[in-house]
Amino acid sequence: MKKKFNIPGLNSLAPMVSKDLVCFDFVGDAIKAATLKELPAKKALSGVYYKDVRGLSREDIVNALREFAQSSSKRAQRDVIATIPSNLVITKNIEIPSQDPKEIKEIINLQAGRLTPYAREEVIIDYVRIGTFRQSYTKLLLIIVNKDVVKKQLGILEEAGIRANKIVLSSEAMGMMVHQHLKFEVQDSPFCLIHTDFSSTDFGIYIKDRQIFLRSISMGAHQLTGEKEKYLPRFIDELKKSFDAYQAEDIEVNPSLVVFTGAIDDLKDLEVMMLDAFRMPVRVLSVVDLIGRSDSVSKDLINPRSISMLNVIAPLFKSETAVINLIPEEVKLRQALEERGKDIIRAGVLVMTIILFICGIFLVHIYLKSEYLHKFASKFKGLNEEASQIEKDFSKVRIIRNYLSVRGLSLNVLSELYDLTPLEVSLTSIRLKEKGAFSIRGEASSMSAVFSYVNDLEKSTSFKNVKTKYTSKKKVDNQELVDFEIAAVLEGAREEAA
Amino acid sequence: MAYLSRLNKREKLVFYAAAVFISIALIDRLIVGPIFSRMRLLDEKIKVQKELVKKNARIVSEKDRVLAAAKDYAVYSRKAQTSEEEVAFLLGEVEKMARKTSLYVVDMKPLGMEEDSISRKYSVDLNCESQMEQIMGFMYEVESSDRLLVVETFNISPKSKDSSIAKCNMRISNVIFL
Repeated sequence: MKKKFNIPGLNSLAPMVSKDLVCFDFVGDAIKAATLKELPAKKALSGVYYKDVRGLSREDIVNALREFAQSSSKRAQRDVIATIPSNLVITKNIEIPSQDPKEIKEIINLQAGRLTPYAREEVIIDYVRIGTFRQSYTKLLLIIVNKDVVKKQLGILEEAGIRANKIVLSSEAMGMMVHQHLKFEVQDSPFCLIHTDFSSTDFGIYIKDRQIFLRSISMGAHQLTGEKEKYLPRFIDELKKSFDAYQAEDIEVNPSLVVFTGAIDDLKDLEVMMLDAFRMPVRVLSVVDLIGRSDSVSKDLINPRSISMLNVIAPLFKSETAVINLIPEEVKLRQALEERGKDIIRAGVLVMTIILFICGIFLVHIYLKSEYLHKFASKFKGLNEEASQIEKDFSKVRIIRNYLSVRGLSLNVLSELYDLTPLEVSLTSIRLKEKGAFSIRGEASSMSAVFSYVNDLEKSTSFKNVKTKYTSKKKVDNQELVDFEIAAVLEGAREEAA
Repeated sequence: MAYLSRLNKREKLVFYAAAVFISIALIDRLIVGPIFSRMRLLDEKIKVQKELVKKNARIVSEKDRVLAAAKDYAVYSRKAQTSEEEVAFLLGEVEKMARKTSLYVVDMKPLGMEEDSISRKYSVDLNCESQMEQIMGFMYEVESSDRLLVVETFNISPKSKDSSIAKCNMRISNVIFL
């Protein structure tokens, strides 16, 4: 399933730390397991485990697996893969009239019932795309396995506290390893890989690192070394039949090289017989030749007598590039959901980290500004205090000056009034109000005397805005008098009190 | 997860857009907003401090001139006592001046106090009767005092028709520095 939250930034950090990879095979007569330490620069085989489980109960197998899981790496960073041997799968070489992967998958699902003796729900199907022919057709190698076999294997692993992420076909991984080893020898031409284990043999044909044909032979090193005379001709015959079957399928041209590997320590003389049977070059490669020497695992453990550990070692090196994954859909879905959950958590952590980082930057910025402000204020504290005192003194001076400037104003007004008031005008009230507002009331013998008086006041430098508020005539003792009120503003009066 | 898997593509898009929008709004409200407002506040404070220092440097450069002026007016720059003492002093001073100028004081009452950051002003309301010359003499005494006494307002009118005696109401203030 496609990842929804793929964070390349974090994935790219993964190689910075080492990771353990464990591969199990326990479907046959034995539990086989191998561990690989994936370091940033290289992959190194770190352990190999073998236990004969013939006659053991399910509980005993679970205990043996648990024991191995506990003795090997306990780190959280551990991927587990399981392998399926070729004798448990059904293989079919078919042609599909499409090149679209989605369509191919749909056609396979529709034809599954016809291709196997099982119903579609009872099997897990995966395929290797061999190539295109007749422009619109695709040749496929179908790999079909009974779901119960896989579920049983996964169930035992889960009981032992182990969760497998992938189920690979061991022969595919072995072919990839051989191709890597003989890349320059075989180049683009097909090659044949015969892998012999304790009780079975895989016959596979490959082009580059793609498996294009697979057949399982139910004879292994145990039979071939135990009753050589009886089984050897049969074995050669089965190999020939396998080769004929490949040719009959018309998949590709004949292989240019036959590689014989696995539990071959006592079977090296088979090379001549194979050469005679196939009439093409035969290379005999031991498991150690293929994987190289390991510092932490002895040669005897990698290559025990009559047993091949290649089917658990090869998937460790090739699990990432292996095409076949026979894990059930529901497990795939569960894994995808878990992966998605992890991705969401990872994305959340990343976002939170970024936010915290940005906040950190801002907080440092705030801290630096606060410090700057604090130091700035401290540095100029003396200056500010001195300035404050000077400002206070200046304010006092200003207030005093202001008051002194208006001193004597009232006396000046009265003196000016005394000078300006003519004899025909008598004053009944002289009033100085706030903000220099000034008014006088009085009586005059005529209206013209009032207006003349107003004119005189206007001309005076002591008054401004001189206005007659009212004039009214009245008779007193048969003499006509005029009442009046004049308002003005004193020149130079203080606008506001201190 | 199960809820999300039930949504179609468009609904998922809307869901994710809403989630992103809400997250951004929350981050803005809870983290970015307060941080930026704090930074703006600090910037503002720094700016104000710098301007204040510039202004204060200018003020300090005028120190000698201000101190010389303050020295000239030191006689008026009296420190404030308690309010009761100041009011009593003002009333006593006015009464003394009235007696000196033969002013007949009808009544006299304190008008309270006005205060700002550096000064305090006490006022009295005075009703008196006298000849015009005596009133002017009293005013002269008030305004030539070595205290900051000022006649703020007055209202002069004849006591009665054809009388040479005037009745006068005036407000006299005294400013004291804190």
